[in-house]
Amino acid sequence: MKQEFEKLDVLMERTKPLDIKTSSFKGEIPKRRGHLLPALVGGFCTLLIVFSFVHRENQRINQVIELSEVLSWDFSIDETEDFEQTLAFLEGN
Amino acid sequence: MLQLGKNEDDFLALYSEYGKNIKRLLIGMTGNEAIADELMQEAFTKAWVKLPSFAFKSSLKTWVYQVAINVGRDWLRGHKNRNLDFEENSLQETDIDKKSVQEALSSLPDEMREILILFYWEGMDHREMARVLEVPKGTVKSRLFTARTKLKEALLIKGYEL
Repeated sequence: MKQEFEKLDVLMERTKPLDIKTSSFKGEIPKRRGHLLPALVGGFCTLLIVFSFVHRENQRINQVIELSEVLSWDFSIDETEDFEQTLAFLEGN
Repeated sequence: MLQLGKNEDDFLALYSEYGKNIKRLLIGMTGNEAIADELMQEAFTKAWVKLPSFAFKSSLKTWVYQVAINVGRDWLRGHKNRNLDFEENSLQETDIDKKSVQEALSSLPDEMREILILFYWEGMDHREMARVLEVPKGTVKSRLFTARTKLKEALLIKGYEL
């Protein structure tokens, strides 16, 4: 194959355009926004996780309050140190 | 290796590093220096904007060529009935051999001309061409062989003894 194209290769090498002139860039250099989309998606996901965590904790607190009302307990949520323990205790009753 | 940030100087560094090669490639593809100039600006703009999606799977050079090839192909698709005329519009060669080669190249299908330019003018090996053209290495080898054969035939018609 090498021999087959030997003369062609020589001709192509000799006729390769070398004197290419480039002008300076015309027009406005575009602004690159970088990783805007991944940052937005990442931010949105973080917010979603935080929101769902807060929402879940809120639900559990409400559950404790509701149960304490049903059981007519004199119970202050602020004084509760361990929600898990309290919830388990109330559910047990 | 060219290190790129986000400011104008980085864009101009990219342009000055690969400008000549990309323009030569686009002249080869379109056969027209003025069009190649326009497409080169478009190719660099696209490469710059798309740079964040460049995954470093290939070299920056390969990436820029890939973008330029696609810009050239888009132009060719929109100008199917064009007549490639290196003689009138392009490099204005006085060298009879250069003219003949350009005429022979312009008589070939776009796909063949593309691979011949990358091989002969840009000096790429099979692996680089495969990356730029986004085809397997085997395809590059067979396409290049066919293209060289066709180019040789076209030059034989012009009286070259190859």
